[in-house]
Amino acid sequence: MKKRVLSILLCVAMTSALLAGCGGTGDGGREKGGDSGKEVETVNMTYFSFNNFDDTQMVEDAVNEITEEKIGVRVKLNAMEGGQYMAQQTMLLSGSEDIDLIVTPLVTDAMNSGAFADMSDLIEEYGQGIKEVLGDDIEAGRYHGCLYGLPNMHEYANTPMIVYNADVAAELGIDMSSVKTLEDMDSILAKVKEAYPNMSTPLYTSNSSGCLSATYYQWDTLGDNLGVLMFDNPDEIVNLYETDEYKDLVTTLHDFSNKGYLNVDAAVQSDNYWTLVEQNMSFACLINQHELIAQEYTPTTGVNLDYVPLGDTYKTTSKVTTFLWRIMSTSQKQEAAMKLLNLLYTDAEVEDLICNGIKDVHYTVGEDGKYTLPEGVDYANSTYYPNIDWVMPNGWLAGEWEDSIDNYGEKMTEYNDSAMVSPAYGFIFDSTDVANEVTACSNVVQQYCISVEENGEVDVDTALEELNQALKEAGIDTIIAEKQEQYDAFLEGK
Amino acid sequence: MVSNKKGYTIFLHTFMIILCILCLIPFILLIVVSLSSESSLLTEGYSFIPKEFSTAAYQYLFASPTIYRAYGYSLLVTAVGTLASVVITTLLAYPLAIRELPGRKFFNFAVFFTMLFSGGLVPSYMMWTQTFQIKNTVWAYIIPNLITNGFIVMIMRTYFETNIPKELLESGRIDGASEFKILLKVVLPISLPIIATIGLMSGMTYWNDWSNGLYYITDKKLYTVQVFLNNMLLNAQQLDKLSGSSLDMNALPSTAVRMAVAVAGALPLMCIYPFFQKYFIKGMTIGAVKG
Repeated sequence: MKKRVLSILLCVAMTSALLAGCGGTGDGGREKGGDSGKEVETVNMTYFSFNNFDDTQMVEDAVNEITEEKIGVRVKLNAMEGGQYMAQQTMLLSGSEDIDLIVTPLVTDAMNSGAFADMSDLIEEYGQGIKEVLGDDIEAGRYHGCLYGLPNMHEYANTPMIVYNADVAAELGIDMSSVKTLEDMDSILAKVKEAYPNMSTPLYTSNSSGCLSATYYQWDTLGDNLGVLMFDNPDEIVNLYETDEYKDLVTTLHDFSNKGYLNVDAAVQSDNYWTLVEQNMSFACLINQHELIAQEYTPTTGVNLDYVPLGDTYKTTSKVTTFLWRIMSTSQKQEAAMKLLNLLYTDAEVEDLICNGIKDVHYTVGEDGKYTLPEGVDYANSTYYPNIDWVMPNGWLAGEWEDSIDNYGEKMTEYNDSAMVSPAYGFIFDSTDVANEVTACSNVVQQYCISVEENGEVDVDTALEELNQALKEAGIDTIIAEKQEQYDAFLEGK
Repeated sequence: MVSNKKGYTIFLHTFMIILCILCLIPFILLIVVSLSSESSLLTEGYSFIPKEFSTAAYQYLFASPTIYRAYGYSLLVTAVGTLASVVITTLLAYPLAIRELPGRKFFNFAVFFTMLFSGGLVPSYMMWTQTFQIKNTVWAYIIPNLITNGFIVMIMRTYFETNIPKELLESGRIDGASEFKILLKVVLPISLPIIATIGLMSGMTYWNDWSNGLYYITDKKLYTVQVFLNNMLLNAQQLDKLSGSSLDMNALPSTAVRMAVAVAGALPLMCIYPFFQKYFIKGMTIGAVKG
């Protein structure tokens, strides 16, 4: 009897959670906003940087002068160190912090727990600028019918490609334009290996932090590769590790591995391609990236880089939602936050201040209009070089630095528009009901992938069989069934 | 019989020596790598003899004011924290050792319970940041560590129970001393070994602590050496995951620098350790539950 009562109670609790729908539309915020009509509200904006941001206070003061005049809102810039931000994320999103505006990855857990406010109405009222800038992509952050976040301006698509050292290619007389598939690299890598026998990693695939199939793919990973969508079969979610595409990829890589083209120490290697190519320890890299990546890294690495595409360019949910700007549901200043967000998407002056600091203090402008660090200052000791144009809502509005690509934003917009759209674009998988299976399967993949994908000593069939067996036991079929169900509903809603 | 014993000794010594070497090797490698040039690390990999000797990593490290400030905070936190922690641990452990304490079982259990269960990260975070408001203050390093370890309290309690004769306390009471005075004048003077041990243990906890800094400190000016190092590693890790996002890695510290920070963090403790070692060993044997 007790059990029955309990189960009924649980049922009620769960259905009421379902009915509740979008959490925290912030009525509290509205009421308060209405009362204090003219009082200037201060919006706490939390983001992260991996570089230097000691002078944030100085920048904040300058930003406030503008925002107060334009939208009557003040801002508290709360910059955190990147690694620390990622480690603290759960706590930042637990609702215990005084945060109004925050940038996060997709984090479906936090969306499920109602950490973020639904922006649907707010954006209609205060976000006209955002709508213009983002266009249809505004919908990418919609989840269970609620608009929980807005993607920032960055590359929305990627291309499976090989990035390579063009200097070495020219020196050895290699014509990379003839490369159409991964197999075509065979003879080229042989040549490179012969010319540079000490090169540890002629073809860079992955390092200890992840699997190759997470960074190089010709399908829609749907976020985590557990149940993927092949572009030629747009209705069915399939188990990647049982597909022919995956088997072909692994077979080729095993062949390369046996020929010594891959890094033998992939499991313990922690350096990335850009570091290796700089030291001429690597020739090419297999990766999914946007078309400007080679050009972008040329000045950083000091090596002349170029790329050849190996497949079509696709726009996917996971790429568009790399970083989303959110308004916290606990915020009492949601309207002010939205006004500020609108300004950040559209106002070049504010965006430039936050991304680059103050003119002639943190940078100087050259004759060509490009920014350089002041004399005697380098990247390590600068007091404000946050390097956050890729995190901010619209970093493309900020000024360009001397070694950056001209008209980056325009070129990137062109690239985004040229991409094909994945049939699953806009689909976000809610893994709540299969959370245990997802954890178990991710662990299995993490454990097996490097040996399955890149260790030539193991027989391909045996390795794949072992991986698939482990995945079955971890419950991948349950995940795929659940994903398929949600995906069908998504297609129907479209 | 005799030769048998000798064989046993030889075996034991060899075993211990091997164990000792295994512990030392990574540390030696750490020091060597921190003294190697970055380019040789990438081309040759790690080795025990530096291919290209270079102090560039240390020059880079000690050129920035951050590290001096971090050392300052580390020292301050360790000094204040250790002192406070020893005082509080003593004040908790001593009454627990007195058999007449009302509710002794309950208090013992309360301490013991924390050895098995903790409040969890998010609840602790909320408590420290909202109730105690320690975020971005130097207290964030000191307060959460005051008696986080029930084990230390248990060690101390056991010491008081077994090493302080009951008669001593009684004689104090007969002479009309207050309980506090007994603790101060009778118990503490003969408990110096355990106090040194506890001091060393909590001193190490304070010096090596990075997790409080990770969660409660976001202001770079308040970093300790360990927090500085930990954030550096976390950044490198995250950047690696995001690599290829449109960011440049100009300011990313190299492998050698990371190793140099690790050495800088460990060195002071290594210098102090030999002087306290005897207390440490004694404390460990005290720790075993007797009687």
